Amino acid sequence: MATRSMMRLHRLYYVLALFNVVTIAGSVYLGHQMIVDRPEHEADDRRRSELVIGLAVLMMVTAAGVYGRQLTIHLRRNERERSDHLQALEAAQTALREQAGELERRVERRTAELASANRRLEQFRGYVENTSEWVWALDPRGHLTYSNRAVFDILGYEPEELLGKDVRPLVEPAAREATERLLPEVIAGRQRWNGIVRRFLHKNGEWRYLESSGMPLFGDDGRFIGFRGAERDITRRKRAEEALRRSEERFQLAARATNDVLWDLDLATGAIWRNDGMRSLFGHTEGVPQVETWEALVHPDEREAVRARLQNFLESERETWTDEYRFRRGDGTYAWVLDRGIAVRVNGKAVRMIGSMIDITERKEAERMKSDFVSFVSHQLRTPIAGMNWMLELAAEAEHLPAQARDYIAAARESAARLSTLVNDLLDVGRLESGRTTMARAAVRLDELTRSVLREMQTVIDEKRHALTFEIAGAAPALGDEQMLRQVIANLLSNAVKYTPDGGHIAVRLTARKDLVEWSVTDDGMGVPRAAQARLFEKFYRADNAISKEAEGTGLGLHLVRLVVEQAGGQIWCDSEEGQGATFTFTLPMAQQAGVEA
Amino acid sequence: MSATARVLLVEDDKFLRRACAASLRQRGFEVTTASDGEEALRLARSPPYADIILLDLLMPKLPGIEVLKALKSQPDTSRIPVLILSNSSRDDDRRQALQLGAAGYYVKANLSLRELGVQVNQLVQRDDAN
Repeated sequence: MATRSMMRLHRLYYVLALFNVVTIAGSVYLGHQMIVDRPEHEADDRRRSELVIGLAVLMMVTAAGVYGRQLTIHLRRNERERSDHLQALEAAQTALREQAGELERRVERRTAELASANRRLEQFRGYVENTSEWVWALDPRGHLTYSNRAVFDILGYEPEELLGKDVRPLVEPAAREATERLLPEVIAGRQRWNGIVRRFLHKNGEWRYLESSGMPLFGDDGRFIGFRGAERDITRRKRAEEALRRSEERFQLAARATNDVLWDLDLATGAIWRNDGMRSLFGHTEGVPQVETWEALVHPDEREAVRARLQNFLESERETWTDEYRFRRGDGTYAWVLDRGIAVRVNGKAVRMIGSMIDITERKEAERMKSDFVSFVSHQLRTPIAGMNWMLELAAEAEHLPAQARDYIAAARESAARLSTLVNDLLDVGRLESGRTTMARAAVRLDELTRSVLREMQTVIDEKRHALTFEIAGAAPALGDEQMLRQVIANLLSNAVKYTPDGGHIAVRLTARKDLVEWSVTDDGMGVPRAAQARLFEKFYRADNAISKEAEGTGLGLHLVRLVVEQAGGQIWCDSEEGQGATFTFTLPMAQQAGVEA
Repeated sequence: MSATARVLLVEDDKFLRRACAASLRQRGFEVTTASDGEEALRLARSPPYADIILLDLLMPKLPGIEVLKALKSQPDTSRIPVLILSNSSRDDDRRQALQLGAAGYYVKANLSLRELGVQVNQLVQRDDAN
């Protein structure tokens, strides 16, 4: 505003000044002409002319003075205005600079953004190029216009081999037709697709399962211009699913085919999955879906014990659980079952159990019959054995017997005694195996027991001229059944005496360690072949070298020994080299001193 | 032994009966025999009373355990020591017999006549001492 009025003022002064100059110049010219035109004129003319010039000069000077003053005023004002103007200008400049700085910063920011976008684009491109999915684009005819390198890993082709070509023949025919049918709808509806699984033929002829996702593409004018999408190779997953399905099918078939009850117990909820066995084997039409329903079907006499043993197993670190119990059928009768399972443990805590239950009623019945039979026969055998023993004893005491007859009678008595032992062993083994006998658990002094047995055997030991030592390193009482342990010690000692050549060395040792009592007998006899050691404690097993030495063993002695020791909670084993003697060792739990009569 | 001790031997097997009786007689006992449970009770209850009774368990007519119960339930016979001579080595049988008051329990096939003689002698002498 100020600037514009100032410019108007300038123009005004300029016009005024110009007018003055013209006027003055005119006056001066007029005066001069008067002087020049009339040189001959009189002096007053000349004076007149000189007056005019003088006036003109005066006017000129006056005009100049006025103008100069005006100019000065104007310049002064101008000066002021210019200073205002300058200030405004500076402000404007500052504003401009600030604006420029802001602009610069914006440009920088934008540039950075662009660079970052570029980087992202690069990264994205890198991702697309390097992802394990096959990323592709097709033109409307189905010809490949873009492919990343993943296609090589998935289908065995380099992208260059396929670019520009129709890739649809790689899809298995049935899936291809299904896809073709869907396409018009996809294009018309501008739909994306996802999770469509099709098989593609790999270059090497194998089928690969690819999971497809993609979308149709449209130009700015809305025209359909092709497809873009990606294929994920899920062959491995598919194969695993297939294998799982087959395995599941196999399991289902086996579960149906078996005569056992298969079960799967979730220990957190108590829920049990079972196959059909509960119905087909035991007639439970309702099934037995909970661990409580199962427990309720266990025979009342055994329920607590079965539950306690299962609980005990779950709290242990053992892998397998086995139990035998009576189980109520749908009709109220009881079946004997053998139930076995394994526990699945997470951080040591059992969370699941899987197992099978089989009906062993018939086996139990057969066992009982066998055991009854053995018991019956054995008892019946005892009468004639006692008759033989006693008659031969009487015969041996008869006077005036010929030496030869005495000899025969002695041999007959020995045979009868062996028969007696055999029957005793058979009965003991049968009893221990059936579990019908509950062995006593009392404190037993093994040192006294050993001495007592050795006294009984002294005659035989002397006859074979064995040197026998008994070393007691600790005589804490063991926990067991005295009668049965006497038999254990007798069997082990008589083996040592029997299988050691005359004049051998036999060392018996008794040691107490922590909570165990350890008893062992070492001989320097024929030893036990390595192969036989593992089977030594089996029923009716006899090592080859034992048979060749003496044909009369029953193969029951060591089996009986093991049954007794194990039922008492101990262990038995044999250390030996063939021909270099043997050591038989057993351990028993130590009887607690307090409250137990030693 | 003040007088000859009387033994009542109850055994259904004739060979055992014969051998056992012969052995005991050789050792100076007076032996009466019975071959079933009823006969055993009849003989046991009629005087002169035996000083000791050797009793089989598995017998015709009346099982040995019932004979033992009957003997122990009568004042006349309850004080006579009874040795069980059985074929059974089952703990249950042994325990039951001892609980009913038998003085001892032996498995015949594992017992020699010599040992039997010793046992009988001891029981009779102890009985005498009372």
